[in-house]
Amino acid sequence: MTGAGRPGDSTKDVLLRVEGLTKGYPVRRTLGERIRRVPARRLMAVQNVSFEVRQREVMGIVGESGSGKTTLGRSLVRLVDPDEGTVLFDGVNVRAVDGSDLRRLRRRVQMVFQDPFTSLNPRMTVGAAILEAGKVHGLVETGRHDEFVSRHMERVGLTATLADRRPRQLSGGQRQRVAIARALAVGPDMIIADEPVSALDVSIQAQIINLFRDLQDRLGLTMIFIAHQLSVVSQVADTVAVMYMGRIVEHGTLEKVFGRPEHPYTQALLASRPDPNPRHKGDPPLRGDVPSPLDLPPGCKFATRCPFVEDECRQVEPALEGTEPRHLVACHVKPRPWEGGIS
Amino acid sequence: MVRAVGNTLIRQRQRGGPGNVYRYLGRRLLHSIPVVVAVTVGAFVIIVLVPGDPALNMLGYNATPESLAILRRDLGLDRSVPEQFIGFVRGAVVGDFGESILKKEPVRDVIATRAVISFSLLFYSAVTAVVVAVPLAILSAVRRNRWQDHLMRLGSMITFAMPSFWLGLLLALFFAIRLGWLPVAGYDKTNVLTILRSLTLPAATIGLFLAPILARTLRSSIIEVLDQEYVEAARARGYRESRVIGRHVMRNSLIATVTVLSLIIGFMISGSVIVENVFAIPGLGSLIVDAVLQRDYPVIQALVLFFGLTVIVINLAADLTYAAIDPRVRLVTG
Repeated sequence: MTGAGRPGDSTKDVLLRVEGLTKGYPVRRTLGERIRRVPARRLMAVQNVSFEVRQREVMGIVGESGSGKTTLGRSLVRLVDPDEGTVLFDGVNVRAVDGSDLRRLRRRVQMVFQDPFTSLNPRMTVGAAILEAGKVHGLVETGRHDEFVSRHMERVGLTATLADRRPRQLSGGQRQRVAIARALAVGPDMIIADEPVSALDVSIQAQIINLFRDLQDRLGLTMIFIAHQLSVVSQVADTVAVMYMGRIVEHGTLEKVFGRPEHPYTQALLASRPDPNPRHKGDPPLRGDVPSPLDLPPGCKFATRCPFVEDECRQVEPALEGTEPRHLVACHVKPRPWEGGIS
Repeated sequence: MVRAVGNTLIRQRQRGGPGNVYRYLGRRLLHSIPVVVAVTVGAFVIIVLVPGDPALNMLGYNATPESLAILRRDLGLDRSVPEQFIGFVRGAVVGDFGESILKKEPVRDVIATRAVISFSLLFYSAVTAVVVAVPLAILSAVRRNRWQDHLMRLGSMITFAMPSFWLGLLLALFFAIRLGWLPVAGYDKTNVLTILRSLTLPAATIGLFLAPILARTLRSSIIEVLDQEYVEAARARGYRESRVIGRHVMRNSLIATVTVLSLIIGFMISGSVIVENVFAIPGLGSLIVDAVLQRDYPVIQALVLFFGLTVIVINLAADLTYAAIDPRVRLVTG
């Protein structure tokens, strides 16, 4: 496992660079609020997020639900239009392209969605879905349709005989394999997998994770792997970004972030992992309330729950800065690295 | 349709349920039997329940006793009610409903010539409705809650609320009298073109009445599909928006259109009665009006039965079409 998320390193092999990405959603005002002319508010799903992903690197993004992981993933291919910031994919300004340029970009950056029960068109057979992906981007020669479909199905571990089936007739794991095959059928340079295993049974999760690792090895894919389970991310990622309230609070190599976490939130996350040993007493859970995303405190967003909180934390928002090579943390206090992580 | 059913059949076989389609078809036909019986009894009862003497009603009070007796015998009124019913059913099975009192022709022939005209009109109307409704529904769904959507919904409310004879008169006033593009009324059967020209305004009238219902149902079903993740997934794969809508959204929304179309077929038939009279189209609608006014009971009976059976057949066809459009619809009844 190599690579790092530190900006300012070698920029030669950086495939994706995100700077200051911000996305908010307008909040509908109630009639009373409109009459009282309460100003329209925005729910900030992603706030000033910056990171880089290098070629052939797998970046994991973890965070609890509502932390902005999904919005972040979707804004990278403009399924969601960001408000501010830049997204550069292989030198292409993602926010500036449109029409056929945008479609070309979307071919190169494929998404795998969380729920394979809803992300596959129920009317299309597996083969038709895979074939369509290839045909639209002109990657299939006429007369070689069957070969194209079976090649892509076998690559994700499906027998080609399933090509005539419809999603309804497949299991969850098989469906997710179809979704992956369909994404790979257009020959992408990068995969954004948004919680690709959360909807699956635990036994199937392992298979799909192994498939991702295997495909990454064989095809040299660059990947962003979004998940809320730390164990899932730790199995595939080279670097990890931890999100909290729409911000990245810690970002670095897997060994550093999960092995010696410096941000109190990451430490708490790792400490709250389910422990297989029932006699082992864990650290006390976090106290305090999660702030309302509509009414965030001015300083550090984690200040309300942080055990190390100081006065400065409640006033000034900490910036994401390097504490050591390839390790960025957004914390004023920077308590000593916690050694109880996954090493 | 035949091909589509064939596809369904193949799928059923693959699923290991051989002959499922035939079983389904058989069951649906069985379910239709009580309806057919009810319609038949209803059509027959008309003549029994007519107050007074049907023969006298038909021929008027100046009729001679001899002609009344002949008509009673022709109609079978001199026999007992069960005997009459058996006679009616026997005739109905072979399509013999006796002779039209008004036209002095077999009822079957009168209906046959006019049915062709009426069905052409209905088909033309349905096509018009679909051609108008589908683009409007797409526009309205894609531009949800914008001015295009509001305009469509307001417009559809207005045309739907207008009585069809009024709408027909307005269309005739504008396109036939003001612009002179189309005939005001009548049915010119010289050639296909004149037939089309004669049927255009009536078809537009029925079509514009149906289009709003269709457009609104389709709009909501498109919106439902647009929110599905596989639509977003299709966009994410870099497909054109036209492809996303055409291949992924529309096919999944069409089932609503088929349902609504089959449900409003009843409306269409009753609508055609009025519209055919407004535009003097010699179809079944104007026939039934004439028959009722002239008390031509054999024709009325035959038409009631015919309309009833038509609705049953169309509904059955619609059910089979769902299965062809949407493989998820399982061919199971009950």
